[in-house]
Amino acid sequence: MDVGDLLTKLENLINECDVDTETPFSLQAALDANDVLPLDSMGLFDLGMKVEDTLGVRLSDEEMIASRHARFLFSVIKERMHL
Amino acid sequence: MTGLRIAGIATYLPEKILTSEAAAASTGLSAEIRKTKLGINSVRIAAADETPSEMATRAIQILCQRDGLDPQTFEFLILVTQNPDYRLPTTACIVQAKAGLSRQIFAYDINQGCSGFVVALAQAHGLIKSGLFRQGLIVTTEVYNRIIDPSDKDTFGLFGDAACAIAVTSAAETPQEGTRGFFFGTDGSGAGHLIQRTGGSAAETGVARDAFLYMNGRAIFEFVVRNIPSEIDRFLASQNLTKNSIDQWVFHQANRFMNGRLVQQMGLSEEAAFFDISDIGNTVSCSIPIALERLTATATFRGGRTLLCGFGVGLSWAGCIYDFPRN
Repeated sequence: MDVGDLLTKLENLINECDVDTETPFSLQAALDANDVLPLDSMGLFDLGMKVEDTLGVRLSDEEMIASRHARFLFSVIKERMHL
Repeated sequence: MTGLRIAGIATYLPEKILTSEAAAASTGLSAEIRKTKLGINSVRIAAADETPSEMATRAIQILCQRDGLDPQTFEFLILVTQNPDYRLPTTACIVQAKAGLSRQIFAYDINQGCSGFVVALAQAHGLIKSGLFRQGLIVTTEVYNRIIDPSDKDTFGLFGDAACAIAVTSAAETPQEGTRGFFFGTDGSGAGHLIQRTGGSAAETGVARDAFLYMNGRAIFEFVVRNIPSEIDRFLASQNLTKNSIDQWVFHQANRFMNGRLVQQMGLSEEAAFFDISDIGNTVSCSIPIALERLTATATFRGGRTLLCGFGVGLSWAGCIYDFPRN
């Protein structure tokens, strides 16, 4: 898996959660704009579980909270996956 | 397998209502999220004089008056609560006197939460099946709001106080209705994820917040979504049944988000799993009996095979199949 694959997979996982947007969420756009994910705390629980099950990365509770910021989420997963 | 039949369910709800707007003002978790995402518009809060024994007694009185039952005829009382009137004696003993139950009654408490009703149902099933008793009473009575911090967004306004009285009897004469099989589970390694750290003999010293209920929402969510589907699959396989054998599902009514993800994970349709907590919230051990009372009162209820499953504090889970007559 390369960084592009991760971006696509992570974006799909986020969109599988109950996102608070009417149109599909674009992770690349959120990274570019240094935006936050359109997820509340329950949506983050859901995403955390999907990330662990799909990508094998377990985020700590603190990382989970910080993961509301798209850049943090993407960078921490990228680092854990050695990409 | 002849089991027990639920002869009647009655619910007592405290009068005081806590709206989602009021809970939002106290915690910061918006009323919109509470209503749309959690499915909770309001919960009931027990007043100071509405002790678990008092609420239990009122539920028993409602049941007996409505169904014309004599309280003296119940041979056992299994009372489920995690917030008893006192550490001792058991709340069941207090209820025996308050509700005018027989002095010869076999009465005891079970300290269990969201799995508690099915645990009690299993014990009643065993007591009746053994031939020791013919009919009895299960009471669930819960006042979680006594131990909830009003500023805690993870718990305040999500849990509602309630009591249920459930009359149970042998199903020997109603072979088409009753309990069929049970399954249980315990994972004490997760005990700290839903806990009140003070009040017991291992009371932990620390900050004042320890007196309140602590819930690790993420851990509970993962426990439910990761474990309950496979536990149910394992149970159904042991009974030579499939999901298609089940007409309806009554899970512990935690909140719309968690129950929705559970249903999704199990590949069930939303309509197959009864869910109705908008005016009561998560009522812990009362949630399944209230759901059953509401389900069977709906115009569309046609009876059939029902899977009940409670899960939560412990961590623990318990489930069973209950067959209603088809109509």
